[in-house]
Amino acid sequence: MKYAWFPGCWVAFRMPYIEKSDRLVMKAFGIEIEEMKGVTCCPEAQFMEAVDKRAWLAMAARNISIAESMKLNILTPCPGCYETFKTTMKVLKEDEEMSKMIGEALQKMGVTYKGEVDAIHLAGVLYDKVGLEAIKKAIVRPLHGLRVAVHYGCHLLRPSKYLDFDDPVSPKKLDELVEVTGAISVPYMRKTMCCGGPAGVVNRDVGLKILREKLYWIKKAKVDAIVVACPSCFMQMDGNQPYVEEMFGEKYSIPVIWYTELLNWAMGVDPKELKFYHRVKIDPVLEKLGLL
Amino acid sequence: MPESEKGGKEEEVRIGVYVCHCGLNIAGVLDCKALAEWAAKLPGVVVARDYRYMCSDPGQAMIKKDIKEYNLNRVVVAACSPKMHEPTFRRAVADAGLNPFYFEMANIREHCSWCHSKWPKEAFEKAKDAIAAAVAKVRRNQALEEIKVPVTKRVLIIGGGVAGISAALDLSDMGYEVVLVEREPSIGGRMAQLDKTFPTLDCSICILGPLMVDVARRPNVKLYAYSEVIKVDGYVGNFKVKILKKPRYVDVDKCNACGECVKVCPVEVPNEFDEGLGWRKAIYIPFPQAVPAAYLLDDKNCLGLTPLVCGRCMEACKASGADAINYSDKPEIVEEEVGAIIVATGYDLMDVSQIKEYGYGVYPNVITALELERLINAAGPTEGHVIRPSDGKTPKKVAFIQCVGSRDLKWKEYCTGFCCMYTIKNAILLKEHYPDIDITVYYIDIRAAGKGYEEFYRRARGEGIKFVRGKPAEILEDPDTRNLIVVGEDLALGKPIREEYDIVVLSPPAVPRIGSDKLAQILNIPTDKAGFFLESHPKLKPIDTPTEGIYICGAAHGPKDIPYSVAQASGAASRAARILAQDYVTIEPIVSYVLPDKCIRSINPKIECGACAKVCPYNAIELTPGQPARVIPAKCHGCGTCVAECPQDAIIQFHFTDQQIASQIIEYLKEEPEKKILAFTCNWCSYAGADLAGTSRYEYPPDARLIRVMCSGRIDRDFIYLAFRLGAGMVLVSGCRLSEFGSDCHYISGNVHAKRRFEAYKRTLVRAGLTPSRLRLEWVSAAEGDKWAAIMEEMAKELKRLGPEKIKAENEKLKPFLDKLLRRAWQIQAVLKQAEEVVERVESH
Amino acid sequence: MSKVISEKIMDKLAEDIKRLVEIYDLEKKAAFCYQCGTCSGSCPVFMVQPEYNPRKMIESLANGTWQSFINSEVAWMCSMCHLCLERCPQRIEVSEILAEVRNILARRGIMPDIIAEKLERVLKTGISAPYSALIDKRRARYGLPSAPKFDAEAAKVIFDIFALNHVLTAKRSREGGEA
Repeated sequence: MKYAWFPGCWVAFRMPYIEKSDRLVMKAFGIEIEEMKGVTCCPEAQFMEAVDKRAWLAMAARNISIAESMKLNILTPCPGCYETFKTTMKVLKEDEEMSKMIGEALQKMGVTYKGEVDAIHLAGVLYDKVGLEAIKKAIVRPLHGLRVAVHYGCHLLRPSKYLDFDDPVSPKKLDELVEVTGAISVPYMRKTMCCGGPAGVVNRDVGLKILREKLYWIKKAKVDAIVVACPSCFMQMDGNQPYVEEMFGEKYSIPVIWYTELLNWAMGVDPKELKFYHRVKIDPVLEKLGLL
Repeated sequence: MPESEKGGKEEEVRIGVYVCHCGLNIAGVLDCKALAEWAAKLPGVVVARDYRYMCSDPGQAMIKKDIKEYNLNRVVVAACSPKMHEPTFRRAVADAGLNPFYFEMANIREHCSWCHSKWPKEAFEKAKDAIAAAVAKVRRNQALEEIKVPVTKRVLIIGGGVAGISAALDLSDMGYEVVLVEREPSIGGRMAQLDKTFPTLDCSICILGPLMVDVARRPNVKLYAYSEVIKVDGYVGNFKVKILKKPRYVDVDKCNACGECVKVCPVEVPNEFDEGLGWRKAIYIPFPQAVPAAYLLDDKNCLGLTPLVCGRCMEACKASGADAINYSDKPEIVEEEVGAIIVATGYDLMDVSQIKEYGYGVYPNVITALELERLINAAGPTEGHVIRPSDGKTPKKVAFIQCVGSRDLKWKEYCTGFCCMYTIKNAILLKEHYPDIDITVYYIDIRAAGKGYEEFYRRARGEGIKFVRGKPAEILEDPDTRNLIVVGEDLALGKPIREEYDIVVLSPPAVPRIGSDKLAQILNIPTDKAGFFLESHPKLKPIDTPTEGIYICGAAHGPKDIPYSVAQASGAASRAARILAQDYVTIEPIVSYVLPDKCIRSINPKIECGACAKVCPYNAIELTPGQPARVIPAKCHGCGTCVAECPQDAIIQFHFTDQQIASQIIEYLKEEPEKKILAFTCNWCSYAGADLAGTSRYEYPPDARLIRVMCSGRIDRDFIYLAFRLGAGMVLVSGCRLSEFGSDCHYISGNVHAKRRFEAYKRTLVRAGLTPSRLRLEWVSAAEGDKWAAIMEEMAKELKRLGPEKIKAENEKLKPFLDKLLRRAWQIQAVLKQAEEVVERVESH
Repeated sequence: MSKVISEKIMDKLAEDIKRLVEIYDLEKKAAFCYQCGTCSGSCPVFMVQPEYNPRKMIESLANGTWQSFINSEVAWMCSMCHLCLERCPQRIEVSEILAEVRNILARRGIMPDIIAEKLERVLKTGISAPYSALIDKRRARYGLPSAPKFDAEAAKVIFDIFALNHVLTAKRSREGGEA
């Protein structure tokens, strides 16, 4: 299993702890990665697709063509990049006019997009390629009794016509990846709802109000932690909890854990080693697991 | 069985030709006298006249007189469209003792005088050609007798809901024997499950019960409850039906419904009649008013049909004196013979647990409307008390959500149609039971179109039931209280909805009863996109199916309310009675017939050719291994698709044989063929569309020469090859509409095959050098007179643009290729040979 | 949040949207909308800020009254969560259509400051996060190799090809009070 590694701007430049955690898991399961050279931002849909869809597709196609020249599929830890690439691939495959227009633009840059490679999120590789059986074998320290709310985020699942990670209405892959560690994925309301991150970029209050709805229902489910697989969701749910608490006068303090972080703990990695930055302190979780 | 086509004995044919003036309708444009004089010179024509109104009594009398005096054995009337008066003249001819199929019409009104008044000279030529073609065809016509099949005066009704019961009562009243088959242990269907009906709030079982009892006690109704139709053979008037009687383990006649068995049965399972909300025992009666009023034993859940395991019910029954229980009951297959079949199998509700956003099946307090019916019903699992499934408490605040799965491209595109009304009804009932209850109905549109329905809706609003336009996007459940929070947009206010409820009631889509697809196969009737049984024509034949003798009614045809179901059931009874009232059903003899010694299956029994059967929409062709294919005349509808399909040209269609059609082609293309457009039109749509163009007086150039076939599926590629071989300028193939939405073909799928073949032979011809615009395929419906005129206009323009020289040159080049292709068309070859002989004979005179 | 937009720009906007509607047959696509409210009902932004209503936006595209929502930056509040697109019973691609509308707004410089900022950064550096040697140092502390090598020039070229500089110019000129 070898892939072209596309960490994306959030992970590569802002959240190295995510990359470290992911790399540890990849190493454990023999997932080899090769760096992609000369890439740009994937680019982010919020300010590229919304500003100029064609430029967005062209920039994404250019990134994909780098992986094509490496003859490797793209592996990314970021669902935003995942959605950008998958959408680009589908649109350029099915929309002849768009494909021609983008092709012409790329030609001006000396780039050819052939549509020969695929893009996968790391969770997809873990579930579909590595498999739950293999992961279970690597669990040495089951996280029994840990109740978590698994949050998929939007772009692993939607628009489902472009993506192929999991069922958009009742996804289960991330839940199963979490449960293989021994933790319990607790059902909760508004599970497939957006965390409000991108909305918050444009309007802070709106983002916080949306996050509150998520936290309200997660709290009702009485969980120990939230587990996410998207760096933007992580920032939003971990970083902005205090502001939600302030705005609504409610207490949440629900730790947010990165999914490979959880896997690493279960595979015997010392949490201290990960140096994972959490704004909402995860001590209660570590205590419950006896990892403190 | 009529003798096989031999090509007609030319010398013996004595034809009378009559040219009608139709007042000035024809005579105003065409010189009818001249036409008659010209027709008199055609080979075989013994007398030719013109007259003001051929269809009038004196006109018809003229024909009858001539038949006797001149010993005529063929008659041609050149007048209006055969769709107008063919039956009239056929009758007249028959009156005079001549077989009505020795009659042909030439359409010189709708297709000529009415649309070509601007080109009188060319119109005259077209009329001449039409008469000549009719004469050429009639010469080859055969005497045909209508096929008579005897009728079994019994009817099978599949489904014992309100529709099936209504139809059964009607037919029983008329005096016919009814075989009523019901899959469930009791008749009554969905209506038996309802509490009250809208808009009258009648108690459902109270009004249905008497009908159930009535239908079962009638001496001429044979009720097979807990039975299924498993095989149907035969055809209209003569259906042979196999019915599987499932074992009840209880003798219906001995059981007196005392209920002693139920008291001792140790098994409890969810009750289907209560939509799984209540319990029943393994031995049970579906509901108190069940008909037959007998118990039955559910062998899937019984501990084990033998006293070794349990046997308590049998003991109790023996003790009570009835001794009705018999563990060794076995399934039994019975056979019934009927003349007509009515399908009234009703509907199911779609399982909305698939629509995850609403949490049905996960949140206990989200229920369907039918479940609410059972809760409200005094005979239901909670004795009429509506309670919250999670805690048994009486709900104080209820939401109804409409269109859960209906009107949704992700689930069911259609509107179910009765959910608005039953929701209004249920809301009113809840208010009656619980005056302080808070009810909101969330909807996209309220559909209240029936009699008294809008008034019923107004009443609901008057009783304080709230209606909010805005379909909730999802339902959330508070894990602590199991209350439900409805989330959406209130469209009127443009504000988010976020309301908490004790119970939410969903309105699911109605879908065909499970097993409908299997039944459709057994009966060989089509279903529509949604799986409901398909009617012959959505406007004019909403009860018939394409299979003669089989009718559909009630929700089996499509979701509908009780009044519509009952009305349709009476309609079905009437349609069936049409058949049953006669001793014989006559079938028009324009059916197909396989020439047994030409069929490849008899020439080489190793070849299991089934090309004809494959394209037959009516399953009318029998394939017995080692035997030639055989068309079952009573099942054949006369489309001719099999005829064109047979690679051996081994099938003929009476009255539309290859030779009859070829003779018309030859006749039309005798003079200046390069200036003509040969148009093959299907009887039901395109020919009628061309008629309409004339009726509407659309003027278009008279380049076309029309040949009528019953269905575009009849059009053999050899006709096209022959047309171009004989020098036609252009060829048009036209049939019923075919589009991405489906086929309007009168014979279901003929046009699909027409299109398939067209694409193949057009490819062949274009590759050989044919200019593509010379061969066209168009779909013209009977309502599209303007489209026909437009096509004619376009093709005439193109014809002119190409020019006769280019066309002649192209045809010359194609000649050897077409000769090669036509070599195996032995029927057409025979006609060509005879045509040559006739020409020689005529020229030698 | 909503800034006043000059009439001149409004007219140009109206033309652009008209063309967009024509090109993408939006009227026809949006015409299937039977105003059920599933999209707005699902929208997390509408839930907390009813001013942003995807249903109304689609309706106005279908019936030509789009002036109602293009005169402000409200359309940019979308979180791009795509629930509207997933759930629409008429399969109208709500979020995609509204993204196209934002394309048009962007051309006229109507977009929030933060979006313009991010756009500018990608134009200048090729990536959406700030990069410096400190980034690599931090990565090294996590035992990671240096950040991936990115191509700032490539972004500039794409921006040129698609004339995205004009977008930023339009935005800046609006800031300066010009129309």
